[in-house]
Amino acid sequence: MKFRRGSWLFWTLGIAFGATLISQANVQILARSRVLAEAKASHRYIVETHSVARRGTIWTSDHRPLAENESGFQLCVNFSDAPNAPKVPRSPAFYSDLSTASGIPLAEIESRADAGQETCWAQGLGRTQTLNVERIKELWKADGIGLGPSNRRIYPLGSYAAGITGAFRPGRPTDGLEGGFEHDLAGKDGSAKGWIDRDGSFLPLWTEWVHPKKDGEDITTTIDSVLQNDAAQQIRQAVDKFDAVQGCAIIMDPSNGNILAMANWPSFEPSPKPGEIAPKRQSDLDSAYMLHMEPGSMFKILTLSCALDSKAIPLNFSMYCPGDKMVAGVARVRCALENGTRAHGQTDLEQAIAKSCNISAATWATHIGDANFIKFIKTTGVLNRPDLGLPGATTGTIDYADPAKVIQAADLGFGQSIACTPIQLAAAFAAVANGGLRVFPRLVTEVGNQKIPSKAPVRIITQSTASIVRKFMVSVLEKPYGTGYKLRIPGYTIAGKTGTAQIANGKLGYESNFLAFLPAANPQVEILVMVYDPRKNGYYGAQVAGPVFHQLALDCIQRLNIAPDQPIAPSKAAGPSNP
Amino acid sequence: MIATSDSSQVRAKMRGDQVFDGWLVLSACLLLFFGLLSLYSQGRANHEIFFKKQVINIVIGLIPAAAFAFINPKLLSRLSPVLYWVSVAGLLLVLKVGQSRNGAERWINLGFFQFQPSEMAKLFLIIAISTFFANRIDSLKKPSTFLLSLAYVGLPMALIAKQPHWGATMVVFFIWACICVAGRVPPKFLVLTALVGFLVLGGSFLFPRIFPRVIHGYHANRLDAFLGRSAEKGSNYQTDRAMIAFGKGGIIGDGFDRGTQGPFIPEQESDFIFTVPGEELGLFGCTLILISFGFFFYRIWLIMVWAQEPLYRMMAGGILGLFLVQTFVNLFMVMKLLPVIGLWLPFMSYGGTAIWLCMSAVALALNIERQSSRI
Repeated sequence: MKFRRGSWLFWTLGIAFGATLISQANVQILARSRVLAEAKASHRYIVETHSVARRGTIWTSDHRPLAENESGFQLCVNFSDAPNAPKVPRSPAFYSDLSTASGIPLAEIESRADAGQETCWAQGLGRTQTLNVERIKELWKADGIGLGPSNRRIYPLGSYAAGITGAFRPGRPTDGLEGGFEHDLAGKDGSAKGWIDRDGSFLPLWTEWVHPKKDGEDITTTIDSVLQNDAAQQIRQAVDKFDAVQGCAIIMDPSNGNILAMANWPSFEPSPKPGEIAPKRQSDLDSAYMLHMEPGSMFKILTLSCALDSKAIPLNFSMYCPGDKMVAGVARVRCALENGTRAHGQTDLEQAIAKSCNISAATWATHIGDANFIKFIKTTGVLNRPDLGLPGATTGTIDYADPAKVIQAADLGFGQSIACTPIQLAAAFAAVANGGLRVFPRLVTEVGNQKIPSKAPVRIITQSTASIVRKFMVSVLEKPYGTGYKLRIPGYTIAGKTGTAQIANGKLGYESNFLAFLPAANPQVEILVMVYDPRKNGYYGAQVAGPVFHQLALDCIQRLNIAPDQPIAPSKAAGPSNP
Repeated sequence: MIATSDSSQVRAKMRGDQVFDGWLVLSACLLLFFGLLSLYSQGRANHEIFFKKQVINIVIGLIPAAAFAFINPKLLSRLSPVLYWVSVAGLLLVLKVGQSRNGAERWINLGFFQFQPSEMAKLFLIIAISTFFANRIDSLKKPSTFLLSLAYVGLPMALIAKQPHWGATMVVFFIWACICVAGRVPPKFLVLTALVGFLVLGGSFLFPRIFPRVIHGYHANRLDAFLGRSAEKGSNYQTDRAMIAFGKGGIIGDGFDRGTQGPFIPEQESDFIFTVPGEELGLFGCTLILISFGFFFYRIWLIMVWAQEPLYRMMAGGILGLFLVQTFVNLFMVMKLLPVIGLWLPFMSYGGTAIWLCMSAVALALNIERQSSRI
């Protein structure tokens, strides 16, 4: 044995080896349950955390978001010195790096660092910024930097769809769809218990939910993003141009009541500004479903429909309009002053609609009778509260106890003595467009995976009456004496009706309205424009609301690919050969 | 006993045509394989790319390994003054321009990779110390030779301790001790030195005012934590986490690539790599790895025993010492039997310089064996 010390050395090594094996076995078999139990009991490895549910997205029918949670990240930094809390370096160099990475001004970071508390920035970080901050976190070993999903709510259409979406304001009552579908959108926060890693993320294998988190449901609306944007833009321009108090524009599919656009102006900016959690609202009024408006002359088409259906007047009914008349001997009715005269002369039904004759409409209404007419008005739904899921929607009003029944009937005939929301009015007029069926305005088609079916339509006018009234409405745009003659669109037959109502609150003011079905024979869209109290540049419906309709009709033709239904007449400027 | 009694027969067998120790290479490759497996799974769980980098490291490591496998150890021995002073220069350089990480300056940044001179010094010092004793083979029993060798190894040790890197200092000390044993230096010298060393370290820990500069704050903290004296919660974080990983693994483990504890364990890819097989392959896999290590040590032991020349025997003893101390200290540290002092596990831990050192040391051992069998 040449290496004598080899024997003891060899055995020493053998013992060391054995000790290693035994201690390994001890840890993995004997002490195993104790180690795991201690780890659990000490709560050092198991953490219970609150997990915020993602708020659902509100979609348009063309799958663009109307309201969604920002996909970015929110930066939180713990500047406190509390024991066991993850910390960040307290050095100017770190603040400078963090500022460069996050885009947050250095002075702001320093001032928050001086406060020595955990702080979060409301504005979300973009993707690049988030990556940069993560790099800084690793570089500086700054465990106190937290990057959580930002819960900032953004509204891509902004104020143009704010009346529909409302604004999500944490801790404050919400409105619009955000408020109406709060329960579905909000989801349910959860809390989870589990093993977390150094970054605070749960490890999948060891996580258990104490309360399972349920993300909010998405909501799909009938809104078309392009038409909504156009409608809002147009109504905004009109309100600004005519210095009106407010206005709204509604585009509806008359066959089922689906609202393609519902815009009002003034509106408010629902997206919070950077650094702001929730926006301040400038206006709490979304006129399309909150404002009581007098329908004015547009209402004549319902009066005529009722009068024809109830056979109160024959189809060949004609009367003389002197411009100012005591209808039924008690109700003094005047027509609007145009070209120096109020008188429309001998007027048949078509001319009465085209020229918007108040005396004719009041006469039809008195023929129907007060009780019958109010009964009909009820069936149209204009007095009902629109069931759109929007908080704040109001019912229409009518004075059922009006002692002067005849005068009330005469006034109702041309849309006065009644007030209702533009959206219910649009739904009622849809019956004339779709062949006599009352449809229910519909804004939401899906909540989560659940479809919201539209309500079954109810017949209120016969198909033939609806078609006759539509034909009369075509004269409004097609006949040179029609109030909307200047608004016709080459190639398309459009049924329309202007409306100019005096505001009933005593002060001198008007409501300028326009209603149209396009194309007249088989309407695909209904456009309703109402401008409340225009104070300069005019007040007639055709003059104020008409141009809004005109532009929106062109937008609908393009967006919905509506085919022309008549040959486009060559214009006079087309060539010298024209006579 | 097996090793020594059968060694002559085995050696005779080996002396024939076979000059290449396949078993040693096989066991080293097995350990490399386990290491790569662990790094692969660890990296996947933590989105790291240690596995790929380690493969590259291994490929690069073939270059120094080839050098140590084919350059005659006698030539290396003759170059030992150069190797010694290169080591000292490297250690001085790291103090001057070293990169700081976790409070210690251990790395020199060469741009494309980080170089750790203390690792290089470990191998060079094996050759240098062996040569030192081999040149004084007749005066080995004299205390003067012993004290001189202590001074010889003391300089690089002091420089490594200054970084501070107590783990590497201990490794160099242990290598020196193993070479002493292999060179048959009287054991009483070693026992005495160990005693003095223990007193100095123990004293500096217990009476920090008397020996203020010997032990750094964080070493004292780690020692405190190890002894359970620390009141601070989480002071044993790393080892507690390692315990949980082992405990979770149990006997058969959670299965390859199914570990979840990786993100908890700081430095899992390097010092705490053993927790990966601990969790994923359980006691079963750990035992397999330990057996591989055991067999690997046994093969180096045989080389040491077979070596006729004192120089070769001492070199083999130094190599064995290097691997033994790295392995056992690392395992004991991971299993909470020793305080955490930051020593990697041979062949398994991630790190370029570490893996090159392992490969070079094995190559040198093979070289020694070949030279021995030629006698």
